[in-house]
Amino acid sequence: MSHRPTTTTQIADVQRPAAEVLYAEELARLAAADANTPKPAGWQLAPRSVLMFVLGDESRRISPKFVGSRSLLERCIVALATNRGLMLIGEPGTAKSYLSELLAAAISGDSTLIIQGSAGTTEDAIKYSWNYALLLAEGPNDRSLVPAPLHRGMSEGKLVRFEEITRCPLEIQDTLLSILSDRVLAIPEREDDGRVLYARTGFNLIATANTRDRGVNEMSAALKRRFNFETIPAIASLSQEMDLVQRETARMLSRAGVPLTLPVELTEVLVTTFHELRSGKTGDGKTLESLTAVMSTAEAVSVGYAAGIHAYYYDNGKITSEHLMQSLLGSALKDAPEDRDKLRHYFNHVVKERRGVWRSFYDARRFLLD
Amino acid sequence: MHSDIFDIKQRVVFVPVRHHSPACARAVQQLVRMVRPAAILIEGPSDFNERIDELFLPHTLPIAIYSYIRQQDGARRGAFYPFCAYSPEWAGLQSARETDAQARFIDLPWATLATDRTPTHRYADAELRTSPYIPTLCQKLGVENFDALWDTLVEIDPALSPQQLLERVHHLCYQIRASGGHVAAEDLRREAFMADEIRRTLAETKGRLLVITGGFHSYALFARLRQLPPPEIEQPAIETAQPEADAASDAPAEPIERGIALTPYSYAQLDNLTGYEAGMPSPGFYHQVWIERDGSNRDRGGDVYRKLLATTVTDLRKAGQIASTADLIAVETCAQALAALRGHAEVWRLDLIDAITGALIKDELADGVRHPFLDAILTLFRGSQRGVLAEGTTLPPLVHDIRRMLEDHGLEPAPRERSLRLDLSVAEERARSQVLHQLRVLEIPGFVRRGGSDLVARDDLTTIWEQWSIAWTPGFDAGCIGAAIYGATLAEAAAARLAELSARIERSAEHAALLLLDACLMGLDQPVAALLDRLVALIREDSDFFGVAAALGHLLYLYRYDDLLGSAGRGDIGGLLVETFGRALWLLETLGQTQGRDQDLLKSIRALIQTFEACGAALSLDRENLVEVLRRSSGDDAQQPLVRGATMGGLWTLRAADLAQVRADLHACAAPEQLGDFLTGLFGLARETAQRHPDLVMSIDELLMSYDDEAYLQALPALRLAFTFFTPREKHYLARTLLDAHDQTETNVLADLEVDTVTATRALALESWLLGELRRYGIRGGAR
Repeated sequence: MSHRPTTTTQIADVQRPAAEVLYAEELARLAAADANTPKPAGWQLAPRSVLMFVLGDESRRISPKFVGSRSLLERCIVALATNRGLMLIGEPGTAKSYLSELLAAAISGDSTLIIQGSAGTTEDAIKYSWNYALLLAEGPNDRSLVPAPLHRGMSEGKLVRFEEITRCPLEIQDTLLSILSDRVLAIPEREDDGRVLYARTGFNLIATANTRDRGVNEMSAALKRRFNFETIPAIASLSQEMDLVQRETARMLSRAGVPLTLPVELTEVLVTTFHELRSGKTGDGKTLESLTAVMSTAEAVSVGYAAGIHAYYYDNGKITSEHLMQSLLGSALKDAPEDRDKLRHYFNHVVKERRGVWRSFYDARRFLLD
Repeated sequence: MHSDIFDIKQRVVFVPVRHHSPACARAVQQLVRMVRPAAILIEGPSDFNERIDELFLPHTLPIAIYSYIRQQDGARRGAFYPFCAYSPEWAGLQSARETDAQARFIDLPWATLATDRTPTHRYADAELRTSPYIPTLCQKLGVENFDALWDTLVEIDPALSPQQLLERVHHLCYQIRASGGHVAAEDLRREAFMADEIRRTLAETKGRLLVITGGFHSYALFARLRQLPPPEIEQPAIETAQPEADAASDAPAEPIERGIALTPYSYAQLDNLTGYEAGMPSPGFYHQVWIERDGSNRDRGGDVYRKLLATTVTDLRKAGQIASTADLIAVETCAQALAALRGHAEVWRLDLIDAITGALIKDELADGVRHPFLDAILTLFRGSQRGVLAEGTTLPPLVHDIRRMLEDHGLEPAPRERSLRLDLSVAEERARSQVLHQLRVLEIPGFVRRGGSDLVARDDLTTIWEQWSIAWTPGFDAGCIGAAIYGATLAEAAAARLAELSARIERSAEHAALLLLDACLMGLDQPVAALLDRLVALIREDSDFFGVAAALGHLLYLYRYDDLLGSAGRGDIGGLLVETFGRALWLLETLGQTQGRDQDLLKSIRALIQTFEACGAALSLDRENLVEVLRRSSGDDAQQPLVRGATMGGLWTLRAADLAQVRADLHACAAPEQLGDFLTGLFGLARETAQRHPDLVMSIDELLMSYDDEAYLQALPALRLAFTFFTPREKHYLARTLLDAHDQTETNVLADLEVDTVTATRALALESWLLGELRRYGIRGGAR
């Protein structure tokens, strides 16, 4: 862990510091308060403090970090505490990975043990591989073994994050079976004591999978059994989502050195549009066909951000409905041609009826027509 | 807060309860034993006091006191005071009986409170839920909502003593009230009345009193008796400054008829999980808690949740879901860990629901989609108990009303079945039909509609009549008593039943429109108003074009043509029609492939055009929007030719397209496999307009002449279908146009065939195939 940035100046250089670094001070305070509280073995914080860290607590000066229901988080924490694997599923952009990072930071104080699932993920990248020069010179031993995240999580007693697990081929997914049930990793190459690695307390697995990829590599029933599944929903409350989008676009724009903020009424238009196209339901209860493209909160933030950049560099710095519309098209119309019809339909029947800033948004529909 | 309120040594002890709370019910039992009161005063309708003994008959719970009125404007209203085994009010009544204390209800009769805003579930707890104090406290205690808060503070801990409970609930309710701001004038009137009742009882008896009311009222009553300031800071102006205004604005007019009686109730009604009138959720769960913690229950022991979990798993397995022993262990571990994390002394309701969600459900839980596992547990937690009134209870008012209505209309059932034909154009017979329809909707056995004019298909409406059969069956009386759940009079019960049915419909505008037809058949005004909101919601939810268009047809009939049922020209139905029209247009635009529903499609598009033509002006429907949508559909290359033809036909009928445009579209769909479908659509919608433009025939003729034999035969079946829309005379004129253009007369072209057209077509096909084969082998004669 020596390569991780620790001082403030180091953090400033890092593009995106890990949660345990960013919130080191909060974690330290919570840990100090928990000194005499019983904790699950191998945990840095007591379950309640983990909850507090994620959801925030005004009186203890803990910032809120994740918007979601308390009972959902309680279920996640309990799954990890009872040694079940935790599987977070949901649409892309619902902050699954972010939640797993926060949980790992709070529980293990380390959110960097990450396995990225992909069609090319191999067992080497999950468990361990060898330094072949040392292997030839010394044979299989501690020095020649190169531990991958799972090996490290087990030997150090930490949470391991497995991103996009359903993108991995089935046989790779299933290597987790014995590890999750017996908590043992066999290293058959070694003949010494290191032949079997017993997981230390505190080790567990948080996997994420996105529901759009379902069917790519459907998990085996045996593996499913070993996980508790939690669906991370899109943010249900319009006002909470609006706050989040407003805050995040402002943060991203200021980091990019753009002195603009998205006007509140445009944020409202943006978030409402995303909300309605995602849920397939308008504010007054009419159903519409939801888009094939992903309309997540993260996507809304990037639309707002792109609109800001566009306005700043090309259009003398005033964000208008037109900028929003152009960025929106880029994000909403990806590969499904019928999405264009659905979007046009949305404009003709929903946006058209609305007043105020929606009028100019409706007028901007000409970008949609070609 | 004055500390005397916590003191159970005082002469008057106030027990603050949440209705349907087993912990409060248990506290009531214990307090009665400790206080030994001479009288127990309960928040409940004081006009039921003279018949309070009826409550002590051996009923099967849940039952309810039902209070109903008829107001001067003819509107009927009713409200329920439901009791179940674990109601604190019920515990108070039973304890009074055991200790020979006097038991009395002290609330204002509902009849003097009822306005259209008064909640009809009198033991709901909106005033507790809506206080701004609740979210803050939830945040502080780390619980999700009011129900979880209440469970944490009051229900879960089995060791909570009655005094502790008293203190906690008094504090909670006092804070809720103190920070809630304005207290409804209705509540203040009720409290004034209750305080008077307490004073009166104090004067009449020498002993001590136990006052069981909703926690919201407890301190206010205490304050009134002691002349202390009430908990709320903001004094409502109406009570002090403008008593007249208060009376005028909030006190309802004196009803012209009122009554009160016991009726059976059900846990399904009690478990109204959402909405303003919600009380405690999951009655089945709390029922189980009550049984397990009842001191006199010898079978108790073990945890509530284990028993419930076992039943859930059995149910799930019966339903064919997989729930293994290992799963069960996972659920139990999870539930216990959740309870520990949340600081619950026992595994509680949400712990179990959450554990099942977390450990057993391996699918995405989409918003608003139900999962069989969750359904199973929620059903179990709801409980299936239905109340039954004991023998000797005064019959519910509905039974009397049904008898009276049947007598008045000469419809009494006899063991021998009789048949009745009604002509709905006669007022008296229509009234009889309405009564019969009301009985039908309530599913009272013995009244069956055997036949009559079909107002759904509307094939033949020259006379509107109905055929009913009436017979007495053994289920008749039970049916009437059972239906008493819905209301006090036949009309009211039928209306409530209709509302229940409409709540059950999911996303089907057509079913909703049929319910509206039912309401009109029953001659109900009131429910129509109530139904409309629900219908608007259903129409907005329905994404099936055919369903919405069918609903449009029904509504159009009711609004435009139906004089008998009195629905024609009603503004509210007109509003609904506008909504449905807009929705149908919207769905037309996103219409996808509709295999095999050609007739429905034409009918649906026709319904749109008819609605516009019949009511466009009266309801100011948006012509521009209609034309735009039709244009987009007819110009859409990807759309099926039938839809393109039909929408073009619609435009043509509306004079929004001329012959040139029709021709252009005709050429766009000129391929042999498309032409027939296009024309079917066109003629289906614009039969009359097509008549007036014989030139069109020439264009079609041109197209056909350009086909070779194979193409012609391919197009033929659909073409034949297209021309069936014309009457023989119209066909004759069309043929005439064609012949004139070719300078020929009928006799020399249309030879009389000795075989029918089908045989002729087959012969033609054979001949064409034969010639093709000849051509293929290079045999002479192949080129015709």
